[in-house]
Amino acid sequence: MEPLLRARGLTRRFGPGCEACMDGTGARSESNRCPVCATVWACRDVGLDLFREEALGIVGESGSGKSTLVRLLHFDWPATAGFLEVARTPALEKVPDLFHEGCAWSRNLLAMDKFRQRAVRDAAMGIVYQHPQLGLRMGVSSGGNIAERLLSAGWRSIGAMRERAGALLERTEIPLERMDEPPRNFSGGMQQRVQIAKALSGDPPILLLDEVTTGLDLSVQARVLDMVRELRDELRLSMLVVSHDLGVIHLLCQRTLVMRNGEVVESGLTDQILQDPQHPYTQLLVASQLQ
Amino acid sequence: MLDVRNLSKTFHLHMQGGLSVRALEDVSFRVPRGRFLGLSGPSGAGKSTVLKCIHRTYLASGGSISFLSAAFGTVDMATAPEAQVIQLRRTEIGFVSQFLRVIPRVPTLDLVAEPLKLRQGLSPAEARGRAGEILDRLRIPRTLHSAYPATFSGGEQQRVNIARAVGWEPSLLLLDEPTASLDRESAGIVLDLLSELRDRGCTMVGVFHDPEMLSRIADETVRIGGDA
Repeated sequence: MEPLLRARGLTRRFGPGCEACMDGTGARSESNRCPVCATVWACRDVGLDLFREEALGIVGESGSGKSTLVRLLHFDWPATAGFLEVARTPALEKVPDLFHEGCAWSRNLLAMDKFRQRAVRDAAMGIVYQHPQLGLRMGVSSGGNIAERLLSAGWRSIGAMRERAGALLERTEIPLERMDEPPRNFSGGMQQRVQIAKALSGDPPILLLDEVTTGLDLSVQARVLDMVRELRDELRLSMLVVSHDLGVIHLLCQRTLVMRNGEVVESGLTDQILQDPQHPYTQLLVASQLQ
Repeated sequence: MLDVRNLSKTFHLHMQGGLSVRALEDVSFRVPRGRFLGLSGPSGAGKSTVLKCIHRTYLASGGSISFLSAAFGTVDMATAPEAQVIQLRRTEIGFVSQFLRVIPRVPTLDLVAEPLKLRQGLSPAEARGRAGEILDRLRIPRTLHSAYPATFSGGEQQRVNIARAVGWEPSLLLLDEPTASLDRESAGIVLDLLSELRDRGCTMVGVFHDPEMLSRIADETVRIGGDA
């Protein structure tokens, strides 16, 4: 398996930071907020490799930095520090000045301007947020939501966009006759499926899923999970799956990172993390799971 | 094919005040290609722990687990990079546990067809056809093929698990109590299926609760724990 995305030292803090931060926050402390300067270290020194066609899970309790990590990878928020690079793929060749001549890895994406970050994101990533209102415009038709994404990726023909949107919605089991309805008319499960359709519209090799089934009732959750699994295999996607639900991670992901207070405390094969956790916090997390 | 040397495993339980549990100590055995090695020993002796260390579900604390892979040559499963272990699990090493763990609300036939599509590259139609044959063989009635296994009996779930594991012809198959909740007749069918797989060159390591089952299939037996 070859890596597709590589992050090192990924950090995002809110506040000035001070000398006491290092010892006062993080995985070994009780909080990610510095007791002296009140800086919050939402994500600190996170490293990860996402391989081609693998699903990588990120688990941890609320506030552990999982969603921050996704937002940094998706350039929703700027990182305070860190290094993020993507492997050369056909889809990314058209982004100007991304790769040095002959290099298999891109330059540091976090140091690039917004326009190029956006181009990388459009070509390589799709995202599904926990809250559909973050990923969708709730008052715009479902087809329109997808067309918006296609427009930003350079599509111009209205007929072609409509056809593509229809195919994606059909794939995610939204009835075609409801394509012109806005997502706010839809149930939670349907809204997540529209988000998935939108995320896949640019044929991205990477899909970021942030708590995609949280808040859905169990029967809807099962359907969405199964759909994600099918799409993963069918489209050969690399997925980053963020969830506080170890069951979801177990079903979808081969490898998992465990986060606490903004830091990665343990990483490994998912079944190993769940059955032979090494770090005290992971042991606590696994022992707390409902059977 | 598989050479386990001085394998040991200790669990450090941080929540119980740093308690250390020594589960395995200095286990060694060797399995030639196409042979079935049975693990015997009292409950709690660490038989399943051996299987899980080979599969890398558990991290070995000491020793080595050399597996001869078609793709990578000799690999130490105790220390191999995660990406390599994932690849091996996809193409060469299978594991059958006592429990079926799958995405809810996926029909049984699709669950069995999935590894055939992914690992053997069969078309969806071919995979479903082959999956149906395996389920027939294991006497899962046709009427249940389109049902979700969550509603099945323990024995039926276990047979679905076996169907998922044997269809794609792994070169090493680890079996943790594969016949535990089956009646004698069903267990006999499972053993026949496993013998055929072995005859086609699959190497197996298995834990059986029932010594009679063990003696029916194992070419050789190693005792784990206790006073050998």
